[in-house]
Amino acid sequence: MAHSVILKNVTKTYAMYESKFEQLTDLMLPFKKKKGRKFDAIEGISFSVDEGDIVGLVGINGSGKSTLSNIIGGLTPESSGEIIVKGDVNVIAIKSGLSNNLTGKENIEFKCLLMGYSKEKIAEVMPQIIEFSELGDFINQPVKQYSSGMKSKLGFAISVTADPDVIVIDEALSVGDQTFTDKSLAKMMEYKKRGKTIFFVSHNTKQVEDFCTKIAWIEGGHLREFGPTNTVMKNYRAFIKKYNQLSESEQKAFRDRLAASRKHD
Amino acid sequence: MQKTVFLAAWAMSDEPSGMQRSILKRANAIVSDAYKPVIVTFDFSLNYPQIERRLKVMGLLHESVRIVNVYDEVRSTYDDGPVSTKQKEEYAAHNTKFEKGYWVEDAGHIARYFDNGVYVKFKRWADDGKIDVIDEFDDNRVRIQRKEFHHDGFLARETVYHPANNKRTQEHYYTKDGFCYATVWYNNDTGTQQGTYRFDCKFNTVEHFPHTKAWHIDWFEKFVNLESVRPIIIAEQPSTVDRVLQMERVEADFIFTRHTGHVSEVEPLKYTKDSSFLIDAISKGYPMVASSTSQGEHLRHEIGDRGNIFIVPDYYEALPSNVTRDPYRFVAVAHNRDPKLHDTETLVRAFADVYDAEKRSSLVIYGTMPKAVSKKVNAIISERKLEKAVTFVDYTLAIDDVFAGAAAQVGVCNREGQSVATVGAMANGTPVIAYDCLFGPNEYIQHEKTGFLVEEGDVAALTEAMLRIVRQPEEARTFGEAARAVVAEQLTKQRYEASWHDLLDHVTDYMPRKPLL
Repeated sequence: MAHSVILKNVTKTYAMYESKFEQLTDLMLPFKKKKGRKFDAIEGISFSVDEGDIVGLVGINGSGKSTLSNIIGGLTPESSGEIIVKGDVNVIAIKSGLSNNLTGKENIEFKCLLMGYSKEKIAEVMPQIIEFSELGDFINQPVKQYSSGMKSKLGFAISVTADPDVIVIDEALSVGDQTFTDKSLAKMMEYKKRGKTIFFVSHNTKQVEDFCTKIAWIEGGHLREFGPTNTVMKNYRAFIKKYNQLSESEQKAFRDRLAASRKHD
Repeated sequence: MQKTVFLAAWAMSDEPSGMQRSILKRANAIVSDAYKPVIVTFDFSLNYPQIERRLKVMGLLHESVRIVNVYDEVRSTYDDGPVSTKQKEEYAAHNTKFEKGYWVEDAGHIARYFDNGVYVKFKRWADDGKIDVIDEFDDNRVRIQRKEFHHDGFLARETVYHPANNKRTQEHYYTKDGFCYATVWYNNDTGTQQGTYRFDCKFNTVEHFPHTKAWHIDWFEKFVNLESVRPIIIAEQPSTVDRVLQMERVEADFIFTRHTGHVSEVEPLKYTKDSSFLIDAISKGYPMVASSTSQGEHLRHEIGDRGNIFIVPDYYEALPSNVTRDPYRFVAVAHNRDPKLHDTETLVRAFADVYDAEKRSSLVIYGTMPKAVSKKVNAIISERKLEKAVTFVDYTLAIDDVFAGAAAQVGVCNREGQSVATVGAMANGTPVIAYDCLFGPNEYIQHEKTGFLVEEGDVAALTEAMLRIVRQPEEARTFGEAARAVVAEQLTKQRYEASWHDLLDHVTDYMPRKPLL
């Protein structure tokens, strides 16, 4: 089966400053030695994903899952390396791309226009999106009045209607109610059958295990494991158990060591 | 400075199996100014020095390659001097066939001992006349103890059995001066290990391990860490893959390999039991080498592709053979481990139909079958009156003569890695009739060009292909020559050596980071 997403040695590096002055100095004096330190949010990640794969991205907070999903989704550019995504990609995150001041309906129109839909096409898909989102009359309310679950529902409904080839779901199913989550998962399974590729970021290990065919376990910005769900999740659960058995100070020390390994000049 | 490459195999024999031949080939290919291969074995065998010598004499092992065995190495650590006088006296007594005070039933290499009518002891001698094994029995003829002797003249292992069910409860391992360096406890009900104790006479210490595997890992880690240049460990067989994967306190690079198929059922997909550790190793990012393209692609698709799965097919160089090809003789290989692996039953059924049509045809099956398969196969032979046409040969070293003298090789395996039999036959200009199974046969066998690919279990198709071989000898010869050309072109020693050296040179690039927790 053909690869739909290929990551080749992808790295995302951010500059870290201790003060605004340092940041300003680096900006104003580009030829002077940089004051900020570099932080690798992800480093040297390589893997390929096939059409029809549902890949769960797991890891403790700050491991780099969201950075990676944003790079795959095209929301954040990589600092080095190469990413090849075959086809359209859509990111569904809790707050992704929704304008707080617009109503749900206006957001649908706005997002559809960004996707290149004509007025007629928007009119055609509008009822489907509203129905899938289960927002009812709230669709005419400004999004700033929405709960995170409602925002997620709207974002999800717009994205699935767009029918992209690659979908990145970043915690978007963690905030909705169970009925909507089940409906969304069913939709994802339908996508899988149609050979679409899905990346699924979640801290809900049960959901990840039920839904994903492969797991990419990110730790400290590195790809620690990438393989079949049962194999990697078994190891990840063992790691989480070990991690949870550590005292708070030991956990912090572990996180600090991971963070230290990601910082450089 | 040369870098040591440890090839971790479970066992090695002077009658090497296809997989062991592949390991030997790999070791030989690695030998260079940059790399020094060492084969490491973990089974308890008392004749590794002889095995190593014979393999070198036969030209199967490069002169510079050592075979290191865990038990030999640990024993030699504590062997300060020659065999003790006490051990020598005991050994001489054990070696004596006609011991005083016993009635002895002398049956050549074996003897049974009776004490006033009560069966108390059994002895077995090796071909060179040295004592091999002594079993001792209680009054109920239940074996209670077994002693195994080293050919250098000392007791090497003693096994104690439970009188209730004749299952082992303890094993003791000895040095040549009689010091017990390890004891293994067993649960005689379940057969599982309850613990392994290692004794160190130099530091007067006893160390406990949960099982022998943990002790093996501990020894291997210490052995590898003696290297001054960071070595490479190649895990060659399933039983060593899990050992290598658990080596956490070692400074070395790892490569994992797979010689056979890894799938037991295709739909729904099920992996073989012994491939779980390999899947773990691939997921963790370690480099893994598959021997066929389709196997590598399957692993990449099903396990995940992070650039750590490499495909390096074995090479095959046929030795010149003077045997005359028998246009009616088919050869096949059986397998004694998994009854489902080789469909010998279907092969014999198909051959029976060939024999009915052409009485000059014959079938030679090499290797041993599981008892259940053997029973069924023999029943077919008896029913179809094939006693003169079907023969079984346990083992042969003259593989090229076997293939070069056959009309065709028939492969009825349900799953393959890269089949040594298929490639060996093709290299000898012999067409192959094989099941079109995962993984390998269809990479080399081009249907009706170099042989025949048939559906698994299809008796009629097997019969038809075999009949075509015997009835159209000119076509069979053409197929054979085409097969020889495929191997000569695709499976060259130069390509194999270059691929392995390239991987060894860059293995560090593929090694995953050691986890912090």
